[in-house]
Amino acid sequence: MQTQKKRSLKDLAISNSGLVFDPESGMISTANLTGLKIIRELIDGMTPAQIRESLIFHFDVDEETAERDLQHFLAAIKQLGYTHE
Amino acid sequence: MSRVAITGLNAGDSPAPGIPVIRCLREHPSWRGKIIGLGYDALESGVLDRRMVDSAYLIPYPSAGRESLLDRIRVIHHKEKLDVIIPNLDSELSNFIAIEGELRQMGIRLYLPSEDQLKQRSKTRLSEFCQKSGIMTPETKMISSPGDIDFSEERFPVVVKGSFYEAYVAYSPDVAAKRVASLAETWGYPILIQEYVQGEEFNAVAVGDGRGGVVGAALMKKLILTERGKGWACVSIDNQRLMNLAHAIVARLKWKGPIEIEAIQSQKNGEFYLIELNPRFPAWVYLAKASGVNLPHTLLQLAMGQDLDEPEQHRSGVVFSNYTTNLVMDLSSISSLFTNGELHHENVL
Repeated sequence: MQTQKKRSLKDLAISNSGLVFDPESGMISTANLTGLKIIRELIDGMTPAQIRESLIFHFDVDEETAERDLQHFLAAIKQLGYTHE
Repeated sequence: MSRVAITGLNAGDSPAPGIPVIRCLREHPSWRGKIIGLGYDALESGVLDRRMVDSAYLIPYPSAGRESLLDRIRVIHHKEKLDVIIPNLDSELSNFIAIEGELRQMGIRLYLPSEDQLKQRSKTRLSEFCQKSGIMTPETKMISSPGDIDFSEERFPVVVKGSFYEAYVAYSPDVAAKRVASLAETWGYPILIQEYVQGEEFNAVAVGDGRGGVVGAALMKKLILTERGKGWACVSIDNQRLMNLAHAIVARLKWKGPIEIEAIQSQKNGEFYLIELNPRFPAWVYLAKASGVNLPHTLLQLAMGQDLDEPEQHRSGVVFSNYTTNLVMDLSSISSLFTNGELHHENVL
């Protein structure tokens, strides 16, 4: 059975305020500051490990919090049918 | 200057395409003309909107037949000197197609498919069309009489559809049977029972040139649905597979005129399943214009035999949300619509 092809984050239109729009599917969603940062850094090609370090530095949070937020977001984008790879 | 008659002017809770079509025409930079509204009821909201229609006339219901329609159009044409008629309701199209030749002789142009093309894409023959065309569509059965109702081997949910209008998801045999009875009472038989495809609905609108080509097209996805499944808020999108589907359908039918394509993208396999082909502009056609593709104006140019504007670039990310308001007027100012079946807004103070 053919499954639906995963879409790339690079295909999304993202505003500075965190509005996320997929021009192909019409999906509209919002990302908070953390999500916005993660999504942009994924699109820029940073690895999850690099993004975790970036979150720790930028938001002054501990490693556990950064890792949790990152994994939560990666699971959310996977659930929506997007890949960051 | 163009004198264009438009039908489908109900702008209430389930808006018809007529007012959006008029907006598209009036907002084109080159528009110079008069809009003549053709309504079925004196309180059909669009006929009362002096910003949209310059004059309005009542025409006979489709069930009165082609001759009644032709007689009435003759009277209206004598007063208005119509150039083009754009019909926007499924139920009236057969009559307009039937009298297209006579109208052309009177100098009135339409841009419509043939009766055969109209039938090919009908709900009752859609499965056959899709099978021949290699297009995916949900499995559909027809109920032609009360005796045909048997949901014992049906897998639920199903979609219960009237042959012209209305569609409802039914999650049990009882609900399905009630929907069948209700639709049959309103619209008659046949009623269609369609496999329910889990997924999101996507829509396309296109204008075909009658030779298999697409003159213009736009795509959208519904964001908020009414109880009847109509798109209350929508967003324009850029989806090549959906566009390819639209082109394939128009090419296959050699469709002439406007057409709306309704498809569900299956959650399971990502394929587009064709649900309906509507042989006229949809009520969301103004979104197409707002996203860069003024299809009613294109249709007008085709009907008038004019050179077409440069093809427009359709853009995604334009949002549309329905907005209802009230039209208020003294009954006396619209009395002629009730008594004589016509109203000239320039005469109303």
